[in-house]
Amino acid sequence: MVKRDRYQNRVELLQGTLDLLVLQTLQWGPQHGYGIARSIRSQSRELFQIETGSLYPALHRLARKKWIAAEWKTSENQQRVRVYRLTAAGKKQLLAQRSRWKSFAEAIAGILNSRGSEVVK
Amino acid sequence: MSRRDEELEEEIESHLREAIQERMERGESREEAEAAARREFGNVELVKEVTRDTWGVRVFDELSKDLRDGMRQLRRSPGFTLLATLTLAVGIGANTAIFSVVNAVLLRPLPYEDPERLVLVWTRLDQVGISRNAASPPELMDLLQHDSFEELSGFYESSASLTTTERPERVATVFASPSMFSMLRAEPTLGRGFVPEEAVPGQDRVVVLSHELWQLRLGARPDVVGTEIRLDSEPYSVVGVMPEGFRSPLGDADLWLPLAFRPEELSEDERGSHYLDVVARLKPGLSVDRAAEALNALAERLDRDHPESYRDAGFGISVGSLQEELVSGTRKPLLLLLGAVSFVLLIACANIANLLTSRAAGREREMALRTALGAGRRRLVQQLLGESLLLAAIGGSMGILLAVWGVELLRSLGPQDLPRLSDVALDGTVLGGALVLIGAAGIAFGLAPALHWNAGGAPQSLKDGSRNATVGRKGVALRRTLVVLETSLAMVLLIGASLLVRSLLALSRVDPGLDPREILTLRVSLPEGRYPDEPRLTQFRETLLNGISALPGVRKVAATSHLPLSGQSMSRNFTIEGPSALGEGLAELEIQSYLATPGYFETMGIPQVRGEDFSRRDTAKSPLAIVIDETLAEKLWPDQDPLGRRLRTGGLQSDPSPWRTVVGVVGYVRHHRLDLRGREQLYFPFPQLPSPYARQLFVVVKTEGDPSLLAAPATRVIHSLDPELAVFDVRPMEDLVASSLSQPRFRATLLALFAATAVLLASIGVYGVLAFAVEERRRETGVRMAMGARPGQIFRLVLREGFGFTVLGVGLGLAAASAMTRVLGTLLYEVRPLDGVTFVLAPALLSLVALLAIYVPARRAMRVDPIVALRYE
Repeated sequence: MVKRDRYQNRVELLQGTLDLLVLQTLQWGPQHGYGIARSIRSQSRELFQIETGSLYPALHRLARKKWIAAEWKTSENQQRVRVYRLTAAGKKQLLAQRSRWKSFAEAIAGILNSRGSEVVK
Repeated sequence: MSRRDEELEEEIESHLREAIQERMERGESREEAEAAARREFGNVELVKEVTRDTWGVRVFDELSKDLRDGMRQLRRSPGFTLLATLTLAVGIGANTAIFSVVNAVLLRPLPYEDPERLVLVWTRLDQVGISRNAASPPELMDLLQHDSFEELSGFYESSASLTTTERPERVATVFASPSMFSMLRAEPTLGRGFVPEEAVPGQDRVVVLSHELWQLRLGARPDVVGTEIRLDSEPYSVVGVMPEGFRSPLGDADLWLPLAFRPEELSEDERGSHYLDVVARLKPGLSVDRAAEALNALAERLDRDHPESYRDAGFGISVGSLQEELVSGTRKPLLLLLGAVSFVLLIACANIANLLTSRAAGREREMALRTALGAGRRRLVQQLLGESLLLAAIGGSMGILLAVWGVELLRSLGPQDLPRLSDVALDGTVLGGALVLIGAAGIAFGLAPALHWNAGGAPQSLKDGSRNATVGRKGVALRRTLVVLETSLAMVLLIGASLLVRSLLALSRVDPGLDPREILTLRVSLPEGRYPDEPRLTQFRETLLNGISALPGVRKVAATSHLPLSGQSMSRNFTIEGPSALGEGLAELEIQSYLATPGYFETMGIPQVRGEDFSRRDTAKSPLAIVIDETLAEKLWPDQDPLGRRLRTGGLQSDPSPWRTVVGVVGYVRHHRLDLRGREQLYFPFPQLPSPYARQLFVVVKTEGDPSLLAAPATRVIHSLDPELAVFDVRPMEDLVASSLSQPRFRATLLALFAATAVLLASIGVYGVLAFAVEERRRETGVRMAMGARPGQIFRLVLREGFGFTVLGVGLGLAAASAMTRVLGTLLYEVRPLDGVTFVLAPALLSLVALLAIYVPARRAMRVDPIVALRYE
C-alpha cells in the first residue's frame, strides 16, 4: 500500500511533462517502450531517468485516450515488441501541449527573470 | 488471466530483452546484463499493478479474476462445493417458497382500487361470547344509513344449479348489494353492474357473470348480455360480465346476484338472523379507529332502540381493514413458518461459513504469500468474497429452481381454506427478495473466513513456516461459536415442530362424535320452483333414499340439512318449558339445530344414548318430535330423564309456536371444528320444520368398502329423479374430517420438515468442525499415542470435545425455545407451550443425532497410526 502511494505521487508529479515527452518522442516515428525510455534519456543528456513504473502507466493511459496506438511488431533483433505510434489526435494534442508548455515555461522564466532584475536594482 | 494481462507481461519481457541486448552489445556479459536490466526495471509485479490501474475497468477485471479463481477453488474440491451449494439451495429454496406464500397472502394488496379504505364490518354479542358474527338484514339496513362509509355492501354466499345444454352444474353464487361494484371500483367489461331497483324482490332475476364462467360455460359469446340463463330451473337475465381476474372480496363467485329483501325479511323478527358479511369503503380520510368509534355509537343506539332483540347480549359492531381481517387467522402461522425457514437459512449459512473458514485455514500460506507479494488486504477480502458470492450464486439459483417446485407443492398441498392460495407465485417481489437474500447470504458466509484471516492467522502462519500451519485460535473459536449457534437454532425449531406435531396428534385423536369410515356424502339443493311444498320435498327425499339404498354396496343411507365439518351450520333460539336447569318457568336458549331423516344417526355412527330415532311416522301431521344431544340434555335437565320434555322454536318474545317433545338423545358431534366444542345440538325430522334448510340435502351413504365407488351410481339415481339437479360436494366423509385438519397438518408438516433439515444441517456442522479438528491434530494425536495414550482415551477426548459444544448449543436452544414457544399459543391443541415431554424428547433426539456426527471423527482419531502421523510431518 505504502509503496504504491509513492509511485502514484510520482506519476502525478510527472504526468503532464512525461506525457508531453512521450508524444514528442513518438513524433519521429513508432517506438517500443524501452526505445522511448532510451530516447528520452539520451535526448535529455541522461538527465531524465524514466522509471518503468511511470512509463508504462503513461503509455497505457495515452493509448486509452487514443493519442497513441499500440501494435505488435518484430524488432531489428527479431523480437516481438509492442510498438506505439502517434495518432492524429495525438499530434493535435502534442501541438496543444507544446504551446501550453511553452507559455508555462515563458511565464516561469519571466517571473524568475523579473525577480532577478529587482534584486539587481 | 486476461488477454490484456498477457500482453502487458509480454511487453515487459520484451522491454527487458531489449535492455539486455543493448547492454550485451555494449560488452557486458549475459549475466551482468540480465541482472542490471532487472535492477534498472524495478519490481515487475508493481509495474504491472500500477499499469493495470490505468485501465480503469480494474474492478471488473479483478472481479472476473476473482470469480475465475473462485471457480477454480470450487472445482478443486467438488465435495465441499456440492455440500455447500446443496445446503444453500435448500435454505434459499425453502425461504423463497414460503416467502411467496407470505407475499401472496399477507403482503400483496387486495386487487381493488384504494384497498386500504376497504373494511370488513361485523357484529358482536359480547355477553354471549360471540366476538364475530355476521349481520342480519335489518342491521345491514342500519349500516347503509350510517355515514362513516362512502359505500357499503352486504354479501351472502350460496350456490345454484346452472342448467346449460350439458348436464347441470353447481356454480358458486354470491348475493351482493348493488353498491358492490362501485364500492370495489369494479366495472363489468360487458354490460353493467346492478342498479338499486334490482335489489327489490321481483326485479332481482338478473345476474352478473364472472369472466371464467362466461368463458368456460357460456362459450364467451360477446352477445351474452340480455340473454337468459337458468339457475335452479329459474330464468335469470344476464346484465353484465366482470373482467378477467376479478374476485369477490368474500367467497368464490362464478356469478353475482342482487341481494334483495322481502319486507318480512326486514322485520324486527329477523334482526337476529345473522348471515350477511359486510364490506364497506371508508370515506376518504377517515381512519378505521374513527369509524370504529362511530360504529360503537351506532351499536349503542341500536341496542337501546331494539331491547327485545339485543336483550343484554352485549351487542356491538366492529370494523377492521379488509386485508387484515381476511388473513387474520393465517398471519401468525405464516409468519411462524417464515421465521422457521429463516432459521434454516441461518443454519445453512453458518455451515457454509464454517466450511469456508476451515478451508481458509488450509489456505493461510497461500494468503500469506499473496500478502508478501504486495496484495492489499482489501484485495484478499475481495477475493474471498468473490468465491463465496460465486457459491451463493450457484446455490441460490439452484434454490430458486427448488422454489419453483416448492411453490407448486405448496399450492397443491396448501389448505384450501388458506385465503388467496391460488395467487401464490414466484413474482418479481419474491424473486427480488430471493436475490437480496442470496447476496446477503454470500456476503455473510464470505466474511466469516475473511474476518478470520484478518484476525491475524496469516502472519503467524508465515512465521511458523511449518507445513501444516495450525489455525489461529480465533478461527477455531469462530467455528465453534457458529456450530453452537446452529445447534441452538436447530433445537428451537425441533421444539416448535414437536409441539405442533404433538398438537396435531392430539387433534387427530379427537373423537368427532361420528364414525366417518365408509361414508360417501353428496349434496343437492332443491329449487323452490319445482319443489314448492313439504309433500313434494318428502316424496323426493324418500324416493331418493330408497333408490340409493337399492344400489349394491350400500348398507344404509340417510340425509341431513347440515353435514358435520362441512362448514354448514345453523342455530336458532328456543323456548324451553320449565322446570329446567335454566329456571322454573320458561327459559330461552340458542341451540344448533339441524334436520335429519330416520336412520341418520345410525348411518353416521352417532351413538343413540336414550330414547329412539325418528321414523317414517314423524310426518308433518304427527306429534312434533325432536332428538337432542347429550350435552343439551345435561345442560337443561342434569340427572333427569330428558325424554318427554318439551321445547319450541322462537325465543320468549316470539309468537308461541307449538311444543315439540324430546323422543331421543344422541351423542355430541364436533360440528364446526375438531378443536372446538360448540353449542348444544338438536335435530328435527325433515317434514316437521318448514324451512329453506329443508331444501338443502346432504345425502350420506354408508357403504361396504371404498365409498368413492358409489359416487357415480348414486349421482345417476339422483339424475334419474331430476335431471336438472346438480349433484355437488361428492366426497367421502373421511376427507371432510381430514380437511378439517388441513391447516394444522400443513403447518406441522412444514415445520417438521424444516426442523429435520435444521437438525441434519447442524449435525453436518458438528461433524465438519470435529472432522477438521481431528485432521488438524493428527500429529498431536500421533504424539499422544506414541507416548502411550490408548485409542479409547483418544476417542473419549474427541467425544468430550464434541459433546461440549453440542450440550452448549442444546442448552442455549432450550432456553431460547422456552422463551419463544409462547408465540405458538393458540396454534396448540391440548399441548402446553412448555410441554414436558417435548422439552425432554426433542433435546434427547438432537443430542443423539449430534452423537452420531461426533462418533465418526472420533473413530477416525482413534485409528490414527502414530508412525504414519509423525512421518508425514
